[in-house]
Amino acid sequence: MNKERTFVIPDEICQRAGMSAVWFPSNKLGAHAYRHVTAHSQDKASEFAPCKTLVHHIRFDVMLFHPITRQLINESSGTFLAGQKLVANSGGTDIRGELLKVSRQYRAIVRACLENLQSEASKNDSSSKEICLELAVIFYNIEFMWNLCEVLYVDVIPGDAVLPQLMDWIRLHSVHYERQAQAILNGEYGSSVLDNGAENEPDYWNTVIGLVLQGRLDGARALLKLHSASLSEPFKSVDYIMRTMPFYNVFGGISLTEFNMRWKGWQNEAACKLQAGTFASRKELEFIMKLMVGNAEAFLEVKDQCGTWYQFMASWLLYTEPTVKSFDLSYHAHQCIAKFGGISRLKHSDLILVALMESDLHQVIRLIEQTSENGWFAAHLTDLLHHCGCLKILDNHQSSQTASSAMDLREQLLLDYGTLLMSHRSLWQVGINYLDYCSAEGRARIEALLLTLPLGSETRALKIIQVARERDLHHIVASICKIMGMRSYQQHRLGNALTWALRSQDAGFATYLANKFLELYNQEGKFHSLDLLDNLGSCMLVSDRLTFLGKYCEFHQLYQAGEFRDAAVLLVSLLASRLAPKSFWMTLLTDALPLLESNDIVLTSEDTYELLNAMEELLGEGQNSDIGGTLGSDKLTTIQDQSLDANSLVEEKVKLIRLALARNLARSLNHEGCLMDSAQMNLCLRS
Amino acid sequence: MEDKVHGVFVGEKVSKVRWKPEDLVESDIFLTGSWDNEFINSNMFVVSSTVGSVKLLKIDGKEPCLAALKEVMSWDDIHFLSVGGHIPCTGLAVFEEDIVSVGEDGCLCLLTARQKMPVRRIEGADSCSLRCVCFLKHNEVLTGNLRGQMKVWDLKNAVNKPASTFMLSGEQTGASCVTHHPTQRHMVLAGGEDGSLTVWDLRHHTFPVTLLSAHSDAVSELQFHPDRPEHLFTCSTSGEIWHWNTSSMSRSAHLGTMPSEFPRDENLWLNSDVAKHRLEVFTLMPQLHKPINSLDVSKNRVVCGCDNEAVYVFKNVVL
Repeated sequence: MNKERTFVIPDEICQRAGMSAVWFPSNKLGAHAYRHVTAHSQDKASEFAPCKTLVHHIRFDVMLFHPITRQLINESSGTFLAGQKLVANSGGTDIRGELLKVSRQYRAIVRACLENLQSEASKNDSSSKEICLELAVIFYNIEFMWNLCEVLYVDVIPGDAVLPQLMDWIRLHSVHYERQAQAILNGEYGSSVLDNGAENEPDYWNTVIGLVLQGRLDGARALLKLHSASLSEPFKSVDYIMRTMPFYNVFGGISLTEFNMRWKGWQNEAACKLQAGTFASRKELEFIMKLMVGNAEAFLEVKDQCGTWYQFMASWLLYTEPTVKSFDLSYHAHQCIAKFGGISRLKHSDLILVALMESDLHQVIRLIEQTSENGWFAAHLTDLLHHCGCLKILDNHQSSQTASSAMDLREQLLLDYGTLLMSHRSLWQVGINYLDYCSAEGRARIEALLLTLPLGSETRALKIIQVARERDLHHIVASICKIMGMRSYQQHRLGNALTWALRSQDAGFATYLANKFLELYNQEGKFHSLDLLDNLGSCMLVSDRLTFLGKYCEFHQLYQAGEFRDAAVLLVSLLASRLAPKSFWMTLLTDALPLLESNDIVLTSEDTYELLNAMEELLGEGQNSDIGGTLGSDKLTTIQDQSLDANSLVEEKVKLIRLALARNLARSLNHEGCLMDSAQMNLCLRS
Repeated sequence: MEDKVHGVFVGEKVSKVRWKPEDLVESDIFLTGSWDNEFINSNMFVVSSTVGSVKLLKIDGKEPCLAALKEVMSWDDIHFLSVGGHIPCTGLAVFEEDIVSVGEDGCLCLLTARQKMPVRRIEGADSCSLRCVCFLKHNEVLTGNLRGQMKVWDLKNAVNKPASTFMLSGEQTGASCVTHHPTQRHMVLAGGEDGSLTVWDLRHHTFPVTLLSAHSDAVSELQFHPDRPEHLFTCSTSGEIWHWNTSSMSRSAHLGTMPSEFPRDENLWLNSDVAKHRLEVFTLMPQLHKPINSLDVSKNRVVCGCDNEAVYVFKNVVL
């Protein structure tokens, strides 16, 4: 962690000119060539131009994203969520039993991952062999330490007699002697003097002693039975002593004090037999007996055979203090460490074990953070311990820290881990799950990081939107819809862009797109995406311009279907309600021409008055506005550029419309007059 | 339930799973992929990808574990835009040797397994992205788009216009998946982005026959059991996977009515009673915290693939 590492970026320009880098989201650096300019540098063109420049993206290589450990990430996130739900639903009842199951599940996941790593590393053609081996070592250590942590902190052991679990822990992780014993047992050895005794095996006594140290007395007895002299007195005594050694069992029904009494009685008996010289004839058996009565010198001799200080400590405690309490462990640990060369000789993982035994959980977490699996261990273990309530207890001793520092610690680790996951293209969903459970800063981080996720296909965008919507982050949903909409727009897919705008009820964007549609109509004379526009339904109400567009399409539909009366009514209402933009009025009036000229009277006099009104209003400001110009553009240049042809075209149109309006007015007034006359006549006739 | 469900974590997001079809035996082999997979016949399958190409691959070799995937034919860039480049292909449908693919560019492409060139391309089939497609008959295809607009295309017709169109719902819920009833092809079931299930009778399609609001989030895949069509399986992005069983309805209906009044091939889904109470829904596994993207059914096994990068197989599903 302390050494600096230098990376060379292969870029020629950078070498010549200099380099600069910028952080961008998810812990990545963008490096590029840079020539620093100050107030005193000469203001001239760069001497490197023209050249090809590159921006280099640099990111940390996250070991945890290896395909095999990726499965671990996913599985453990499932367990993490199950744990959180458990805590949420517990309502204050004691859930330690359930949390123990969660802890065991984590360990099972780690072990499964370990198996996969090892099988991958053993394949000869594996490309990532080294990484697999490295990861295997790391995860082995993790499982080892997690196990001890579980024993000491998660599992609630009645009476706090931790030794049996400790022995289980040791036995689980050192199977060397058991394997050797198995090998010997599988060999063919008889148990009488005439047969070939097992003691001729080179490792025989070593194995027996090793089994005794681990408390595997059944195995030791089985091996001893294979000795050629196993029927002799000393062997029988040893067998008896081994058989009768009491082992503490929580469910055994006897109290700790009573167990202690029985155990002391047993050890005294064995010590008496030892002193009486029962085993004098067999040096090895005598040695084993010395071990079993807790003789310190004998233990010093087997120090090397124990391998590590914690195995030594466990064996020592097994034969001197079987009911040791968890808080006494640290004293014994230090004693054993001293025998093994002192604290300075300890490895990193040993330090963690010591800290665990000293109940210094903060130190444990601090040390764990330094292991190199990117924070998986620290985050999950801290979360578990926090829920067990172990971290809170410690806060009372720390006067300088506030009561919530345990939560802060847990949250900080989860935040780091979640943020790391968010930087991965696919694992961001898992990261979100973790950030959800960080009550203080989680939500803010989710908001910030969701927007940095690259939006690929629409499926991906929809997934991100779903995640945002579940968390009520509506501004993010709107933002993503807008990005997708703009992207579609740039690909000239107006229909799709409009769909996205409508999805987020984005009135501004919808108006912009509606204007574009109308522009295209003006240019090309037909609508794009008619299938969309015909079926807008109630969505068109999002923006006025869109409503106009939708209604105008409806007008065309009605016209083509031959429903001229309805079409006319719609057209007039569009003008009368001033829903239509001014610049489009000319088009509408032009559309009214065929209706005005049709044989049937489609437009009433009222309608005609409306149209006249609109016409006059349009022409009234017509001197300064570009009637024939494009929608939305009010540059003065276009007016000046209008050729005489265009102007005359417009004048022609106006004349035609005026004429049609006048004629229709005449016809409709006439028609209505007749109707009115006939109605009055009917009234007169009746009265 | 534990021994019925077998989950395996694979190291990637699974967006589609398909059983390899075997005639008599239950399939042991299934394909997973981050692409869209469809089987043509028992050894060849079509894959579509997010770079807009479709490939036909063949499973080589007898041993399933050692099977290599050999590319037989590849249609690249069939979904392509002048601006913006490659466009993801969002759906595939297969009928014997004809393949139809739809993409985000709103384009419908008809391919056949033996030919390199696409048989027909309907560009601008839809102004919005097409999200799902299925074959109704050999020459009829149904597509659904982002806005929930469903179109029926008659491929024999040379005109590039849909034969008919209808909207999935009043609001703009996108259509996320569509499937047809195995025996009665005029009946179509569509899943929407709001988790609703709509049943349509294509003979009169102004309104859906039934609308069920089912899942709490988008329905990602619907599948009828190919042999027993009264069983439907659905999975959603809220992590639910359900088994819909209408067989109890058919039993009670048979008991209560005269045989002559009750047409044997009347489809129970079209019966409005379905919406009320006679439908049994089982959930195949407890709700997952991540979306389930795809499922497939074969005999009495169901496989599903999820975003937590795991694949789950359910054996001995009760039918």
